[in-house]
Amino acid sequence: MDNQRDLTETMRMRNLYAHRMWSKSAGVGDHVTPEAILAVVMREGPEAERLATLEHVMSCPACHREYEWLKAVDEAGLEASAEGAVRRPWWRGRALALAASLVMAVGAALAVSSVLRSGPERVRGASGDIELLTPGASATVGTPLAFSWRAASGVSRYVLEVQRADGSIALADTTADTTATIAPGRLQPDTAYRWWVREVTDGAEPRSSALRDLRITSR
Amino acid sequence: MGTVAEVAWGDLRASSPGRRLALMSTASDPFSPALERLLDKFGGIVRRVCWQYHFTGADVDELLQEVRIRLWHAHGAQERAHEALAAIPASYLHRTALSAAVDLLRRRRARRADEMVSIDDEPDGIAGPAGPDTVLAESELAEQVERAIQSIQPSRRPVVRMHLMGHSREEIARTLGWSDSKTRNLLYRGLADVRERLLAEGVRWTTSET
Repeated sequence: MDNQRDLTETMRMRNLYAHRMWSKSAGVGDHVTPEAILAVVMREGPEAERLATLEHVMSCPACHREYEWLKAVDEAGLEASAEGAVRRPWWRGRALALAASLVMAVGAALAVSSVLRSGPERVRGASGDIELLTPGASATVGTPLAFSWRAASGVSRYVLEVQRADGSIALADTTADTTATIAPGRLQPDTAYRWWVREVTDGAEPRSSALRDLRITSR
Repeated sequence: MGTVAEVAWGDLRASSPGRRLALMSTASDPFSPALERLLDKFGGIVRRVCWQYHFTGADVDELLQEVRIRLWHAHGAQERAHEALAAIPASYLHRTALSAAVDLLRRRRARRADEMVSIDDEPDGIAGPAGPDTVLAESELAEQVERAIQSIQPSRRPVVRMHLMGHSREEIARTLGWSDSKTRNLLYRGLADVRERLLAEGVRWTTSET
């Protein structure tokens, strides 16, 4: 009887809590920062701060969704690590591999820590540095497809990459020009693709475009 | 406008040595296939786990693309970059993905587009046909629950809120790094406090058996 009462009480309170939570507007009001939410997910920083963040997250639909997002990415990363998603080269000795991974892990931790603490991402280049021109969001099957982008200063060669919806590469090419024409039939009709252009450089400031959707439609 | 022979990497791998050499002379970018190999398995795991959390499509695509760009930025300019990629540890990929995920959130906030919140996320049982009196009564009751939560000890509030959001006790303990006994203690005390406040306001839960 007590169990039944507790269960009923829990379900009622959860429904009421959800009712109030979801009746709030997701985009209005103050929110905790993504970095604070990440600190909760990663269990980093003082507990008092994480509890304060968590209290907001659990009463704000927008921040709760972001919390779930970061938790999902974290869980995927942990799973990949456990499964050894990235195999080390066979020719590296154990001692060398250990030393290399320590150096890289420390470097990566410092880099990520620096990024997360300093606010805006600091990368050597940035997506959006190369402006895409054509095609637009769709193109008709059976005609040559002309890709073009605006020249970026100092770039001698570009890589054009067209990806399928699952992220795999449908085609790629390197060119010194700011245009590339794809023969009819290389991209499938009624299929969604995305494409981007990036710089080929030996320098320290590689640049790239943003990703643009492209759908090949039937005539 | 010049016509350029495009290269599909599948074609490159499947072609004869002579043909491969010809293709590679136009596709002088060995970094791309190395990057795709690296992201192939990781991307599969990310898609599966994110799907379990009801994140699909654009969210995950954008994340993986951001990871791809970051790896390219970090390693693309290195000498023998494809070998450097093959040597990076999974923990590096993990942190890169988290950093990219945070950056996506920042950008979405900046665009003021909370695209990830949809009405499909609304839990079952709170939507449905109800008269205005019922809706009003539920809203008032929900406010009473909120006031009761706000009146309890601050250390117990996040735990109670997590519980009411449907997170399991095990997950609460894991998130806060607490032992099961500490979590259980704070949760039950917190719920007891809430119950006491609600009772004081005349709120009682009834069952068909009572």
